[in-house]
Amino acid sequence: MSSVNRKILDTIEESNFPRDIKDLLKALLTIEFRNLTGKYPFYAKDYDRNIVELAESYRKRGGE
Amino acid sequence: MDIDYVQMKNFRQYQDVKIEFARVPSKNFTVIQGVNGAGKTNLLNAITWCLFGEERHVDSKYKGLPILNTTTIDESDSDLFELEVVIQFVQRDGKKIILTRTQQYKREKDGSPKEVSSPHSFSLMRQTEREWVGPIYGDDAQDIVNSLIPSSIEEYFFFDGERMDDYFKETTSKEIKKAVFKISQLELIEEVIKHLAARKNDFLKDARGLSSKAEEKRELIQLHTRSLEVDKEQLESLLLQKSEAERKERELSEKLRNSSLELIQYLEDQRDELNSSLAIIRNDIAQLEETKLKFLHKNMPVIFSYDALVKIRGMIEGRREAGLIPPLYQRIFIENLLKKGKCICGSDITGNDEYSSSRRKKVEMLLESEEISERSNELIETNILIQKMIESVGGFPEEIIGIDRRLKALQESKEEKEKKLKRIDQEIGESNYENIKVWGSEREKCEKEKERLIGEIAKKQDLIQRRQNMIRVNTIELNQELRKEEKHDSLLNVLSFCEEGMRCAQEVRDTIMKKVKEEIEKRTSQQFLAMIWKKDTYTGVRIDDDYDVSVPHVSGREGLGTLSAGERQVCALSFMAALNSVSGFEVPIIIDTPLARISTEPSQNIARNLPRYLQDKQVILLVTEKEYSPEIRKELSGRVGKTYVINVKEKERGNLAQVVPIE
Repeated sequence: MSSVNRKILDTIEESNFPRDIKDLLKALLTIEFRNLTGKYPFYAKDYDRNIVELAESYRKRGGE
Repeated sequence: MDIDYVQMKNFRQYQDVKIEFARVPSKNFTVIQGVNGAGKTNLLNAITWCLFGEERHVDSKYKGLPILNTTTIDESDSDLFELEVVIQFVQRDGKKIILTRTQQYKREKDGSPKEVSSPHSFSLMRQTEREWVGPIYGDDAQDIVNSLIPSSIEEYFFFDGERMDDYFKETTSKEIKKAVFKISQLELIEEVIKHLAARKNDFLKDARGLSSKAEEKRELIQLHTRSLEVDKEQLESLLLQKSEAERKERELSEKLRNSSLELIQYLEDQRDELNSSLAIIRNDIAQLEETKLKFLHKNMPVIFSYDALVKIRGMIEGRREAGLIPPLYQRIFIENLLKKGKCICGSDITGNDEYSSSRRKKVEMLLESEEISERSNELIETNILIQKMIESVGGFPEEIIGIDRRLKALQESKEEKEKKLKRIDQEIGESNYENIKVWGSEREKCEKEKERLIGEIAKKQDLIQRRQNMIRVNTIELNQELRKEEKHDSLLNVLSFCEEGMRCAQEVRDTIMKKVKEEIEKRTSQQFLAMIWKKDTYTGVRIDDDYDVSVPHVSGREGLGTLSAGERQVCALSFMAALNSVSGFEVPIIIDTPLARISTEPSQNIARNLPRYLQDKQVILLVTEKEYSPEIRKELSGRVGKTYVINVKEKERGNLAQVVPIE
């Protein structure tokens, strides 16, 4: 369950960032929120999975 | 999200107490009144203990004291005790969440309680549209709690009012920045930026390892392909030249054969015969050379080790002949003898007399020698393998010698026939007839040219084959490099995506930081000016870009340093309320002794204005009787929904607290 501050999520959503960047930031914030509890010290795999998947989608969309 | 009730069993001075809190939006203040030491702060501790498993507001006087109620320990006949705190929350949509934290204790021999671990000490039940879900235990339950009230920002919701006046005295701009970061969760974005940079560096390392050599391979293939085309053209030309030489040779031979001279015709017949034999001999030589090469290729490793293998075989055979192998006795036989207490001769060796002892020793020695013989067994097995290897090369070197002998004979026969050919050509060349001489000499030239061309053609064909191999190998390598290139391109895309992600995260951080800071500054300033009793003295509260807090006096000078304790507390309360309102978390506010250090008139002013700035928030005030004066009660009456008093009953060890509602 993620409870990242609404203000952060709204700022990201209302920005002009490409869709995949918005999705990336939201996904990474959720990972960091989970990390904050100290229960999930190994974030790298989750990071890489999100980065690689969304980077591919970003490339296909031509960075839009 | 409001707290519906807190139920404490055996938690410090609370033996069995349930407190229900005011939740009606217009009247959501709960006041709990108690003398110093009654248990106000421990109520706050019970809540943090239930939420996070630790007391976060322990007074120095309670440090080291057992968390378990001492009266329960003293008065109970049981040796097992349970401490429990239950909190029921009600969310905005009316759905409830129940948290239960328990701790089991066992009485020790000296009477003191000892904690007993329990797998389900923390549980959570949550209401959904249709039913209750749970109990959810341990870390999963803690995750849900952290999503409702992050442990790291608890201090901005549950705080001690008495420490408020020192807040801006002790708190540095760095800590204020940290508070803003924590409350707005900007630290999460900072972590995202930091970790994205770390991942980017790792991807960069991977990308460096994938620097492609595809271009180099492409150039090599192009180069070999161009050379191959030239080589093929040259081969074509050589083949043409050869067939031209052959045609001329045939033509000249024809002319010579058709001459009217009998001698020449005879010599030509001889020549044809010799050439046919030579062709067969050359073919036999080629076949024998190939057989020799194949044999050497197949048996080379054994041939190289041949002498060593023969030597080892000799050594093993020598040991066998000397009677050292195979072993004279089998281990199992000797072990059985020793077990039965018998000698090889059958006599008893169990006794302690000299005879038995010496016999037993000898049998034991046989066991030791048998261990050596075990290695001999291994040698016998090795010898079989060596024998097989030696046999695999058969009659080597006899076979090679035989081939060489046959090759030598063929070479000699070939040379002899070539000499004969030469003599025939010489004879034709020395003919008295000019045209015969010319034809013979030209044919010799043609044959030499043909031989040269055959050599050139073989070289060219070999070169072409090598070039084709190079092209094939480089094409395979090019494909591998292209796959690398593909990965490389993909990694470059990931890298640029990481960079873009970092840039956007920084932009979000800066935007929110600016927004949050401005909002906190605005709200702190408004609340401070509303609650402060010295009207028209200060212009507000400022938080600059370095998070330095200032309270400018109307005269323009800085006033933070000269604020009274009460004013400082108002400033800190305003800041806390502002932090709380921008946090985005719907968590109740609990303030322990909020007005203890503030004199009557300023307290009234705070009590009058505080509810205005904590609208929509459930507030729990833990106050002393002195703080909750009739004047304050009057100011807060419009918002207070429930009021309690903590009655303390002194016991032999520690107190017992009862929380009683006041109508």
